[in-house]
Amino acid sequence: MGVLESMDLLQNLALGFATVLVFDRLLACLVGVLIGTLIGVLPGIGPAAAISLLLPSTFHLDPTSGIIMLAGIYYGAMYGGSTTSILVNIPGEAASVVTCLDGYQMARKGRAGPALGISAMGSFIAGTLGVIGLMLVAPPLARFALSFGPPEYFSLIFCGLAILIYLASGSILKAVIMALAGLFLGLVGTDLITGNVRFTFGNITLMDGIGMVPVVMGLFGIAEVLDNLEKSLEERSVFQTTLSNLLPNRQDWGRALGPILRGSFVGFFLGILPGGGAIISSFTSYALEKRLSRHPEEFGKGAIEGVAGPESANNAASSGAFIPLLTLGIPANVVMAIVLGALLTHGIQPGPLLLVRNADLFWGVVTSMYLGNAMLLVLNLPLIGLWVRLLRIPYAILFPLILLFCLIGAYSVNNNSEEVVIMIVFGVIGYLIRKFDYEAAPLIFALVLSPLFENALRQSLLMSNGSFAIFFTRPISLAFMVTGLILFLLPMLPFVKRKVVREEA
Amino acid sequence: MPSKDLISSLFWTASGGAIILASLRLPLGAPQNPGPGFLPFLVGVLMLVLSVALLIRSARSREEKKTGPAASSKKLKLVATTAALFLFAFAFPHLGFLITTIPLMIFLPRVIGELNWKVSLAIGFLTSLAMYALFKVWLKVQFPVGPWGF
Repeated sequence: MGVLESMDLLQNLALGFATVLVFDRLLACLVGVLIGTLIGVLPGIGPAAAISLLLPSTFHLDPTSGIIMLAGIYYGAMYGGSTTSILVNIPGEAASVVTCLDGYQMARKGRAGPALGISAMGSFIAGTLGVIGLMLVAPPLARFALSFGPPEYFSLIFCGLAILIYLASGSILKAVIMALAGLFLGLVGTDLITGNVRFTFGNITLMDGIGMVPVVMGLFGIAEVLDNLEKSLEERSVFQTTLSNLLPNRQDWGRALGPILRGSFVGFFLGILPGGGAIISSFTSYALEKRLSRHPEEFGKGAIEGVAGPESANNAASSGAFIPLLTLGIPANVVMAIVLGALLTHGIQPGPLLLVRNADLFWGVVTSMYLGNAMLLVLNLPLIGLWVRLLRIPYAILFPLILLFCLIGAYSVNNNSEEVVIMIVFGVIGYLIRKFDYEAAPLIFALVLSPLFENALRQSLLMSNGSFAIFFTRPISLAFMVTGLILFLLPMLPFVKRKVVREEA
Repeated sequence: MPSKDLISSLFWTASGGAIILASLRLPLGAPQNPGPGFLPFLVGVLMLVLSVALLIRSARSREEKKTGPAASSKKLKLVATTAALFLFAFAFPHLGFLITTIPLMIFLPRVIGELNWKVSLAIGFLTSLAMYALFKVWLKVQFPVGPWGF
């Protein structure tokens, strides 16, 4: 692609800044990171729920501002999650679970300030490196993906599903069933090729398909509230501590700089992998730092490396996670699946052509992430006191607000109250999914990709005159298929122990 | 008490069967030219096969230790919350935004959250009016209008 080759990095950056440095977009970014942090701090709402709560309101913005805001909510929530891990020993979201280990111990030793400070600085450095990585990796990958035909897309989605299923925390069998349920739900509605109406029971709302927004809000917003209501609404005690000096000292920096840089690399590359992302990268970084450390015995007792590494890793991972979405059109995790749904709602088809057709959107979003990280750094250090006070809001006040936000949000997408009903139904389904030890992630992933998956399958079979061999004779497709199949078969081998990763979102 | 996996696998078996039957009513096409029923049919078959595998596995394995069932008062709260949400969803298009939102936002904190009346009433009125201002006045979302004009 000549267009792509002639554009070098600086031009891309310039385009990005030109796109973002507009009042509305800066505001979208600021609102996104603020709300993201706010929700990341509030207990019981993970990043997926945060994004789904605010998804409808971003539809009122132009596509670029909308995606900028969603991205801001995502990494803002990551940021907020670390605050609660350190101060209350409650991870605001799953990626900050490891931060609790040493962060809370630091707080108990009266070093909450430096712990919060280093996680903010580390996240900023990692976010910056992540954006640079994104700029370097995305264009060549998109160029590579331009040669993909339907068979490659089919195999790629298959492989992505396989990775997500492989990483699911519970039984593989159940994860596959959830993916199948998602594939089916994604097919409800009018078949775009033949015009046949499928599985709608004559309902007009369903003819357009089951909307992404009500499903996500139900599965993550409503279901989370129902789940929390069943647990006891216990009071959370915030660790009473003075937050006088937030700045890490020279010695802290000496110990934390290595972990921050290593965490950024680990996080970025794990973030690119479908199904990878923030949670695994923060765990990997923690393990890595513990192994490299000259005093591993301090880990778990307030080692600053144990905060700096994972916090940097999960932030870099959130940049990395945008790569498969923006270049291939394949989301790397649930949050990216929701962003994909948002792009599609705005009429934008993510994939290799995005870089050509919507260059301003792509580089604008990338640049906004950089600015957003700077905003987070500037805003959060002084705002930590406010976040701590928010932690004390009782859940009895929070949950009606969350529910109301879901109700209005689901309605406002199409001004259709039937979508509100669909959302509540999926809320109940989401609750049952948890109770019966299933996971919602493969379902959402499959639901979003289902139409693309079906299209790729049908077109491939038309190309090959009905032979499934087409997926195995083209080299790129073969590579994806083999990777996917290996991931399905691996867990059946008795000597391979699957790493169990708890993912709440 | 049947195990959780047994219950869920039976549900998936039934769903798989239903998906197969429903997709057979659509043109299946052939592998050379797959129709709208093609992928749903495959999905249904796979779901049926896997759910049977899950069924067999759950029947074989000893039931692992169960987490204690939630207290019945909590269960009741869940049912009441869900019912209130459905009621809202059905009443809202006919009665208008404020007349349905205010009672819901008083009910949830008072009955489910067990806050006192004063706080609950404050939440009910303040949040409803704030949301009204935010969505209707600022974001210009078209809320349904009740028979009384708001």
